[in-house]
Amino acid sequence: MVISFSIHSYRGGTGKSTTTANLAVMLTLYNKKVATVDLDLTSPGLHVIYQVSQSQMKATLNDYIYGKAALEDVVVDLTNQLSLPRGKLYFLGASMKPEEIAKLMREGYSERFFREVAKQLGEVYGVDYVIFDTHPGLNEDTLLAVLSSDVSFMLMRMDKQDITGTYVTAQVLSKFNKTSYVILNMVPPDMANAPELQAEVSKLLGVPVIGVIPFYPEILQHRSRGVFILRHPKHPYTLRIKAVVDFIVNNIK
Amino acid sequence: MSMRKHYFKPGRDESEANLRAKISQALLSAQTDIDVVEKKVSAFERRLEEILNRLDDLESRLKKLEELLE
Repeated sequence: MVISFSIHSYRGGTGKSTTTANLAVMLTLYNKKVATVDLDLTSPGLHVIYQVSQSQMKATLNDYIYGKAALEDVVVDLTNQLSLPRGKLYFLGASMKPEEIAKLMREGYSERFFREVAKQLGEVYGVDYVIFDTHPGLNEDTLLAVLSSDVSFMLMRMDKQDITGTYVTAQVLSKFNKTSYVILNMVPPDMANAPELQAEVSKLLGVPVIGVIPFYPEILQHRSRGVFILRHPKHPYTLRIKAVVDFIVNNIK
Repeated sequence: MSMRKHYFKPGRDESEANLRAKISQALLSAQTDIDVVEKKVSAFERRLEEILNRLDDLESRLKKLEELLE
């Protein structure tokens, strides 16, 4: 059975794409088959982290959404390119063309798309997990993406604007009984070491916090040079990502 | 992998219209409570500040203790 996740945040710049790529690669190291879908349609960025060139993409997600291209023409298999020792990693990239971005933003996408793409990825590629890297904010289309996936991961930075926005997002999702988890990202190191942090944030939001990832400047510097955890398997960031994936594999079934 | 290619058929159904209406409603009702939200977040920030101060205090005490032991 395929399990779909949305990675969402209230604000931009919270590290959604970086987290998506690193979680996906870590899941493959658990011998899982994972598909990552770049739904940050106004500013797609996953391809930069994966170092996928436009020429590798026969068609884009936008073509698939409009019925102009088959799933098989959109999916890029990154398993060999990233030299993953086990599992499988697939990538579905969004169009970079301004007119196609504008068209999709204007018309929105259908709820069926999420169910259908996850189902087809399961049938054709046998994936265990589909991860939707969504557009930030609290708008109808993004919430449709979040609500249409099985589980929602909200990424939050520890600043007032993001805490407030995430609180509101959690309130909205609770009205739909959505299974949600929070991952604290780019947390100032002194704060990340506070043992009460996880419990305090969970209490405020009414949503379990399953990961606390401190701010490491080297993650930002590395962004366009590939997936961080592959180059730095013993870095504390990698261990934090592993802890989140341990939770996913053991608790979300 | 099967040879048949898999396409998505665009189009929306009634259940989606209902979901979009529910999302709009949920967003509207969330926005009306924003004063309450800000109060809660401010209280949370104060609690966090206290925790950090306590940690700082603990750290400086440990440092002093280490100096005394040296």
